[in-house]
Amino acid sequence: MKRKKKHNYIGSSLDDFLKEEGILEHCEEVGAKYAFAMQLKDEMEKQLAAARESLTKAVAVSESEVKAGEIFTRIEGARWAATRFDDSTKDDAPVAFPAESSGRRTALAAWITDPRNPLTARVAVNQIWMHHLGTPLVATVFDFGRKGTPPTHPELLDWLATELITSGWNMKHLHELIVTSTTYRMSSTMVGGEANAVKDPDNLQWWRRNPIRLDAEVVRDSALALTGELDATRGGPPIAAAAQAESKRRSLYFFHSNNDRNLFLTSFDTAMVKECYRREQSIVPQQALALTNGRLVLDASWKIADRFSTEVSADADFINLAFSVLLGFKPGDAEMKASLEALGAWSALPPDEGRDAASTARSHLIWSLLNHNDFVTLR
Amino acid sequence: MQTAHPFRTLPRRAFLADMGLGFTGLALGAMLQREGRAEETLWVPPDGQPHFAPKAKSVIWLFMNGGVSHLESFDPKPMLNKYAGKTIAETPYASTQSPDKLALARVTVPDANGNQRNELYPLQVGYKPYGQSGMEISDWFPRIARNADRIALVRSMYTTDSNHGAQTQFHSGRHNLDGDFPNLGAWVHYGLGSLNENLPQFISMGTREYWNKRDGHYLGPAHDAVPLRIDPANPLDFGISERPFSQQSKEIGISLMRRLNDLRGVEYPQEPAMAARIASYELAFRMQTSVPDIVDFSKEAEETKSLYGLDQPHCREFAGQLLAARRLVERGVRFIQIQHGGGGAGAWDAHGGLKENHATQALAVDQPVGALLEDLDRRGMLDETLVVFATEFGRTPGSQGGTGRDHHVFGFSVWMAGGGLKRGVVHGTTDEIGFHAVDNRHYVTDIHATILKQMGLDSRRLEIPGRKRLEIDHGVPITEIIA
Repeated sequence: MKRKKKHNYIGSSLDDFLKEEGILEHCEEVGAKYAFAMQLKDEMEKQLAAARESLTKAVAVSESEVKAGEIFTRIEGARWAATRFDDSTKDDAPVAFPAESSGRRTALAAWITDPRNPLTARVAVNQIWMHHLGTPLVATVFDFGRKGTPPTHPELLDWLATELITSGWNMKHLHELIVTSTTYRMSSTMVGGEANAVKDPDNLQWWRRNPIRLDAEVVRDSALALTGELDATRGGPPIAAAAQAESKRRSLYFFHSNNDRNLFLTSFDTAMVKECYRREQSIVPQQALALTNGRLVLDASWKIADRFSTEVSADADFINLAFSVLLGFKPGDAEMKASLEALGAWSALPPDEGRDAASTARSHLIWSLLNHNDFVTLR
Repeated sequence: MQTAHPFRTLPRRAFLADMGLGFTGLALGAMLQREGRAEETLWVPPDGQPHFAPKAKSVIWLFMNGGVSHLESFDPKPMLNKYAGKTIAETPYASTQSPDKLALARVTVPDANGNQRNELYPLQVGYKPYGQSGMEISDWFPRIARNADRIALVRSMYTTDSNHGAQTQFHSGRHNLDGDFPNLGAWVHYGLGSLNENLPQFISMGTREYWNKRDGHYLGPAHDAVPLRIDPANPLDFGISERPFSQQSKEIGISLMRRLNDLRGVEYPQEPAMAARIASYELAFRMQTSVPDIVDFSKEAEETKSLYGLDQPHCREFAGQLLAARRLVERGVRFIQIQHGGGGAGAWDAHGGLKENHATQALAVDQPVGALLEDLDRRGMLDETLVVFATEFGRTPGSQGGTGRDHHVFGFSVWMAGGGLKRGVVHGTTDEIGFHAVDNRHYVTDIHATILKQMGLDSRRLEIPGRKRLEIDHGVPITEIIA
């Protein structure tokens, strides 16, 4: 024991006596232990007193009657308790992180991305496939567990997952594989597929593309992009609800929460805050109302018509250009004829304020094409 | 062919469900089903047909936001007058506050409200028995009381959220800490097809607070209610052109759209999504005339208008909504959800000044609701229309601040009428001071189960893969009040 130095207050004359008796060492050891025990006792009594005090307070609080208007704000910040979410409406108390990481998160990340773990890549592949082709390989995109559904094409899923891993998690490689595939480049038409339609009416084997309805943001951004006014600036603060009608920024930057959502985007199934794995592709009359009556499309029709009119002059050229750019196909004879007739009918009516008959007619044609099924459909 | 794949075995209909086609898709789904694909397996998305013979065709869902005091509306408790001013502990009912009985309440955010109130507060209004049934209803609801013999009253409701998240809980059956779940109206809309090709099948009126603003949730936004305003000039979102656009020009454009889509259909035949889109445009065009017609009351008899109280400033707003609801039901709309006093905590949230608050709010709803029941019945519509009068919770037997009552989840009242329910019955009781539902207790989803049963729907068959619901989500129909 090296307590002697620490406890040198022990009297020296007594030491001499004890030394003579041959029990000095023993007594020093016992004395040191005793002193230590006393200190420990003091400390524990202090703690006990404090605990008793808080217990008394707690009992008093729990037994006292709650009076009207009493407000309890005993916590700082917010936290989950067993049965409730406690929120004091104040910021959380600052958290002190240890200087050295425990490495647990790194271990988790390494485990998630380990090439021997196929799950991560499968989930990623399924999502990317779904965005390109409209239908995922595993229907339950949010659940690859026991409650999930098995993949329609397990070999394809695993091959793409392996490609993703071995390319060093190169998403671009995966996109390229998908969009250059024969499957991706097929038409969505049923024409010529009668035999397949009999064998596989639901296109489980991907003998054609499934048409996809554009996402909400793409519908709005497309209409704005066609006017040439879409603001492609990256980053910046979100656009508040009140400013959205006038904003030319990409829909991505709109303030979006469970309570506050853009009405136009909502009608086209904009992302739900808690259910964002897979968008709905609903077809409801509110979409028709938003596209026929909404200012977005009405204003865009004017601007797009004026824009095209600076590039072409003849009506037939205008129609060709409009079909190609807005709908992605050239008008056939019947479509050309119907469009020319409509332009003629509109020209005979009083024009919009501040516009001549021809440009009014053309803006109406653009309005009609923006409401064509193929404007919101990817084939 | 792949086997045992629930999403894949009936993919053409599954596709429609997947696409969330809503009511337009449902008609199409029914059409495709008639074409006949026989193999039925694990999961079948709704085909718009009820699962068994329905008793009711439509639901009018009236929801009083803030929490109506059951003690001053439909559940008289004379003991509150006898022991007024005493604490519950001083009465023979001290055991109502034993902690095990209070464990039901699940607090979201502890605040000054939603707490125990110990000093009993006397009834702020008188009661009288009404009708053959002798149903006791408070003096603040004389017009509803006139319909006592049409009402099935449940006095033994309970819920668990002691704050206004209970509003969503009453609509979805789940506590707001559990997340967002589809509302009853969304389930009905998801399960049943269209009765009318000119109107949306799920409509909401009145202000909705953000936590109770949506309906479809995981069923998708296609099953959100379509908001309707009592304004003939602009009743729908995007219902009128947001820039001058002559009707003639529009019609030329619409017929061009039709022609171009048809021509495209030659190159892309048999495309359900295209067919549904064309159908959705046709419905949208019809809605633009049919919806303003709903809220245009000029053809209603003066007697009807004054019956609802359209000429009374204190109840005009609710009167308009309820008259519109009756007109919607006449046209076959499935589910009409009307929120009274929505916004913030809700108009009925009488923490203080309960007497003035409830007297005012009751005045705003009593005449229209009474008129709705009378009007539906005299037109022979009440048997097929289920009217619900609900609120998120009751109010405490004890006083809050001397003039009000606090939130109370342990016992409260909800009534329903019509739709094949018994008329003039009272079901369930609370204890002597109106604290706990004691006899035939019902959680909010029992109301849902009752309504679904009357609509001919089985909630278990509506369930979709990957979204297993809890037993309590399905609830149990209150068979005692079903005729």
